[in-house]
Amino acid sequence: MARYVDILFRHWTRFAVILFLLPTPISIATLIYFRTYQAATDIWVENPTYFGSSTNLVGSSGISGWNQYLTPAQNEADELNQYLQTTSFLYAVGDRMAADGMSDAKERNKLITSIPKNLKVTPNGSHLVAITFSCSLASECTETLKATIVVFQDRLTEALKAQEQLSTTFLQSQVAAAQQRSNDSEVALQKYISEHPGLPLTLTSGQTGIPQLDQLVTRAQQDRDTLTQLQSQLGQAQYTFAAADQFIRTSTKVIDNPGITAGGFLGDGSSLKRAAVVWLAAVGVAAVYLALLVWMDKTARDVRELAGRLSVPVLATVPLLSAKERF
Amino acid sequence: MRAYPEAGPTKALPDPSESLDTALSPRPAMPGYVARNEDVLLGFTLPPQFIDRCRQAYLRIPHDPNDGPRQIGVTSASHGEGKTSIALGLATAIAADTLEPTLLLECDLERGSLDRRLGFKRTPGLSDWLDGESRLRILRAAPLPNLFVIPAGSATIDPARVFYQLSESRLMAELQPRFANIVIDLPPVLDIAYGSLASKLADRIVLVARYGETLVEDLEKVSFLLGRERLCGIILNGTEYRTPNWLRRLL
Repeated sequence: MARYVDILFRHWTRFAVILFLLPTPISIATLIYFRTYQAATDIWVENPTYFGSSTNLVGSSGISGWNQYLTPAQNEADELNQYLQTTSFLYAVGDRMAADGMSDAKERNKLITSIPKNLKVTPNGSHLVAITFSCSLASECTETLKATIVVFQDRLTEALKAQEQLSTTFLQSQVAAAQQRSNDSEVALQKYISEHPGLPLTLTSGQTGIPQLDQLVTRAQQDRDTLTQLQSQLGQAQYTFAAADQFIRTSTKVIDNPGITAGGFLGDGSSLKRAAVVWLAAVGVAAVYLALLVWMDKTARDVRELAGRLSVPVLATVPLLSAKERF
Repeated sequence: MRAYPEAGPTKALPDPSESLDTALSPRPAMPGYVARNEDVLLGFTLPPQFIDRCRQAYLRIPHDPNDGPRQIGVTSASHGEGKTSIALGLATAIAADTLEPTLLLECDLERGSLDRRLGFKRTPGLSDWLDGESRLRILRAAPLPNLFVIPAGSATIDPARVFYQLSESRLMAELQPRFANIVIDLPPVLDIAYGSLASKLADRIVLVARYGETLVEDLEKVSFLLGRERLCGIILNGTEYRTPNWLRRLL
């Protein structure tokens, strides 16, 4: 150990160069040129029952892809994270940024390719989703976040519209069939009434005492109810389809607009980490260099080492005489 | 550099006793004064903290006065590690502390540097005496009255032979009764072939290593060649710690 320390102090200028003179400008350059900013935004995700259980949006089976055992924030974060893994989503974000005025395609590509790595989506409580993004320019960070949220909302809207369109098509066929059945029931009832004049007036109760008539009345009633229910569902689906955009923007509200949360000289601190890595590398190089010097130096320096290796005592150490003292 | 001697009967060495007796004869009571005809090197000072570290080193070398004179050999793995400086520092510290006659015997015959450092004439010296060319020259290292130096003498092309002669001579036996402390500046062990032979002049050897220059592996080789039982310790020379003292204390 004494040998290491002695050699360290003996060649202190070299170690000063390795540990301070070289890493300092590199670290400063790293801090300045590789500085990154962090933009953040918060989204409030509504519980699906917010719109009432009658809407298809929140039907009994829940929204497509939603896990009923997770909080809305967790579901939303999971969904966004999955989107972020898709190239089409990232290109859509790029297109959105281009539409918003970012004309440099190279810069856009650089940003969107960094999204999967630098964009972090974190559920923060039951409804709040925190999204952060780090990049080298503050304005680009916020723009990327804005574009990502807009594209995400668009994707949700599209998904909802697709779901509602499917529901509408299905319900329209159901309504048509129910309409037909209801009409048939009505016709059958009217025909029976016309064939049997003098029937009691309370036909709607279905308790006329005439089994065939009661059956016809009950069936006509049921078919009407079914038709009404299906028409209501169809109306709901059509409404949801028409207002899908509004639904999504209400259910996933941007609470805090994207803004820079970590800026200043040090940015978000990641450049500080890089600078620290530079220092660590310098320390590593210095350590290796020191070990090399110690390994190469086979001369007598350490009193304890000498006494140990030769098994004879070191009687005295005589300091180097100054030029004046030499004889 | 002196040439290789011609083959033939070995010259008889001049008796060193006369030189030793002359050198150790009583001198003026006033320290620092030089007696007539006395061979003295002057103006020799060492930094106090250097002497102090050398003092710390020699005090850690176990010595029992009943076992005879203190005899310390100073060597290193190779040249330029401060062996001669440490030998001089040890001799000075011992002489200053014990006030006993102390001798620094320079045996690095090839690259002896004491003369250059202390500013005296290199020849004649030990090698010249061993070749029978001159009497044994012993200098008093003023201002200490009890510190003496035998310089290495002329550089020789065959130091191994000279060392052999030295080991065969009775010089050490002559020196031991006269000097309570003898510090021998030995040649480095790994640089020269006769390093191990030279190191046999001393019972106890201090190994000098230059901080940040001497390879630990070389020290291990030296330790193996000399024998661990004769190696009484290491002096780490020229330490230059850059680590703050408070941190070094923690480590």
